[in-house]
Amino acid sequence: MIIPLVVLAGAVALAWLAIAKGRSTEAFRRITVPAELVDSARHARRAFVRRIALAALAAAALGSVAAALSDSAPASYGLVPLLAPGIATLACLVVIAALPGVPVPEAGAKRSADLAARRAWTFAPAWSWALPAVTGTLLLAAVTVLGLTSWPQEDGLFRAVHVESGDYASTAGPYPGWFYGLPVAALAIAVAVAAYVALARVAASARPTDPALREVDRVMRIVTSRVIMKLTAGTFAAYLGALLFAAGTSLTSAAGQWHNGAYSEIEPWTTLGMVELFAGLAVLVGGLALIVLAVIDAVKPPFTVQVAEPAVAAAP
Amino acid sequence: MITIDESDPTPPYEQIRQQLADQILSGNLVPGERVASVRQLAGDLKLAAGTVARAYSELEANGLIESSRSGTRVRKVEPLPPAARDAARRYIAALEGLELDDAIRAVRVEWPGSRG
Repeated sequence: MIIPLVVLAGAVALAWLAIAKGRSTEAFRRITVPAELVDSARHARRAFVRRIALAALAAAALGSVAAALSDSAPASYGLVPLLAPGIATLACLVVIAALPGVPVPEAGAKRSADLAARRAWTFAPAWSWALPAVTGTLLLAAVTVLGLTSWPQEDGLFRAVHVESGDYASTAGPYPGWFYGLPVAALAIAVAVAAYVALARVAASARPTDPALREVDRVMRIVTSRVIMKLTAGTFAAYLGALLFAAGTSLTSAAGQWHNGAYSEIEPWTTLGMVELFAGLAVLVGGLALIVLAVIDAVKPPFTVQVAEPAVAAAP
Repeated sequence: MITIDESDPTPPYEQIRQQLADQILSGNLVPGERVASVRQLAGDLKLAAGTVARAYSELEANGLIESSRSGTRVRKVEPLPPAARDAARRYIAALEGLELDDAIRAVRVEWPGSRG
């Protein structure tokens, strides 16, 4: 009970630190528009909030269904609840990809458009791609290594770890071997594809034709891209942390047992298990912090509107 | 930037073709630069994709752009001579309250006589 509380508190503290540090970068959310376009901007903001609410609803619904299914599938050995958060992320990304544009009402006979081609990375800075790319790669690497080091249980499923040293032999689980790792890897790939499609569709969807509303639109696309990036990287990091933590717990357990009347700790597996356990906790905290930041970005109004001062006529 | 004016009698595809050609020949769009896809531009301008596709195919036929699987890019073309643009600026500055169409018409009227 204490470990989840510590993880959650650490994640919230990290998120709070990130918010405090990043407050100066939030100036882009303050938008000045001419008085006649204020209603359009406010309408766009309401539409943005509705889309985020729909994505959150889909995530909560699918995540809950997946979590509820775990009770009716005891043979899944915790696999279904393990996948539930990833399924929730996937549902959220699919909704964003399905509804990429926020309609901005506008009037007038003139319509204008930029000639620059918009790509998936147009509204997300290059550095922001590094985090999901690194965490995703590390997750797939961890699934492979943990799968290769896993051991089959009596039922033949690779969900245990086995330690042998002389006449010492011990098997412990649940260990995130192929049984847990392959579905997690498949889910991670699905999340990565959904994130890319969502970013590409958010960038490519139609923009307002009035140049004065283009800034409103740009801010909403930046915020949506940030939510996608943080949610994706956070999900990958949380899974990486959870797998490492579970692996560390099982390995420590397998490497330390009563043997011939004395408690034995087999090295280097005991130390490696402890390293995995604490590294997993740290990565899990980081991942949850990213998810908290994504939620904060999503629930915060995307921008605040200021009415532009009417131009003062020059004195004769 | 491309602007479509619904009150202009010029068809939208021709407005797009003219403005894009002007930007390419003035050097505002450099050779190799990728321009918005037909779908993106049509969506942004609230036009049918066929309207933008027609403008693009005419620009392609005129050798100003080229389309491939990777997108639509500006082709290497000879830009308008700087001397011509300087002369145009002087001409515009000399005009008093004349609309663009009339300014162009004045050039068209005088052109045959000036060129023998």
